[in-house]
Amino acid sequence: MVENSVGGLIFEVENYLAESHEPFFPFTPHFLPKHTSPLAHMNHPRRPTPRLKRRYTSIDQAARLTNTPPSVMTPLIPPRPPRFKRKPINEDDEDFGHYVTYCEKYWGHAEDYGPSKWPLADKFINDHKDTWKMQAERDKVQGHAEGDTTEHEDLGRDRSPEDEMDVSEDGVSSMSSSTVRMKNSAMSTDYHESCRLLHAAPSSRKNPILIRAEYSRIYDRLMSIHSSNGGGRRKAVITGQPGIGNLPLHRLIRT
Amino acid sequence: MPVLFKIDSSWDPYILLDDQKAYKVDVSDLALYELQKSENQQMWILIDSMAFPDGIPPEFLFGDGPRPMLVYSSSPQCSRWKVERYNMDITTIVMNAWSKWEAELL
Repeated sequence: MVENSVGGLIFEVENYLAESHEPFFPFTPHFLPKHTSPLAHMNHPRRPTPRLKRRYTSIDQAARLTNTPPSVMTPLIPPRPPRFKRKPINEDDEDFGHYVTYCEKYWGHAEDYGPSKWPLADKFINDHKDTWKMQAERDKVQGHAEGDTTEHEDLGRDRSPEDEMDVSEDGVSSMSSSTVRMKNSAMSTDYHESCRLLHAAPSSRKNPILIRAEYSRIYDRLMSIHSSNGGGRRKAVITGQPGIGNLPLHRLIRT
Repeated sequence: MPVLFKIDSSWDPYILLDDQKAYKVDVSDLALYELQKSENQQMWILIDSMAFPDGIPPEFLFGDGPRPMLVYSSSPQCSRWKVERYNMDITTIVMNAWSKWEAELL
């Protein structure tokens, strides 16, 4: 939404410049010759004044690069906040104070959701690889002892991002028919493919939070849905998966 | 992007995170005409079934017109989210199943 509003402004600026067949010269009234200063009539009608030079060097870099007057650049201010009644939360609030801390520390830091190919992610994964390996081996032994023949097999399906959300117009979802199996075990190297690191953990925790990469893909799709159809025409329901593979998904969503 | 959410039934107000600040918002202040203001259309509303086990709260079930994005998260029990009760389009998102190692590690 921010991108849309900014993009809209840029479009307006481009239109403005496109309609101008002559180079735009900031602050120059149309009734004066182009090589004169807007203040020149106060001094000498044909000689630019030192004040004019100083004034131009103070123009914002973006305005000079785009040849855009500051009056047009001014609206590039963050959008206005929601306008319903709200009460600020104090950081000392026992129940909600941690949200204040979180917002102050992490709001707007897109790098918090670093891709797992980040050097930091590599370090985190390397530091924990042995632990995960031991855990996988231990679980494998336990699984055989319990007669679990599905140990370390994938319990789900690997679908393309396009298949992740199957939406029909009547609001009833359907499952994708793709059933490509994904080899996925604690020993495989696909940590980088299926996980991301969130460097926004509470200060009491040093390590980042490992999250599924699928969350970010779902977020991207929701953003796409929200930005289409005039914004917010659709609503979304996100469901989890109970019991990790205990129930087939098609039963869960077709009943 | 402003985010209004409620994830626990014990909460009385909604929580709004906006521009590096956190706010409480009373339900009574979430009137339809407020939510449909153009200033609020960029907002996301996140509702969890832990806060509203009976489904999407009525204050967000309004008709056509621009509005914030509503995301309701729920367990897959169809009694929680089945669409027949709502007379509107609902987008249902189903994640890929969790692999076993993911479930144990995350």
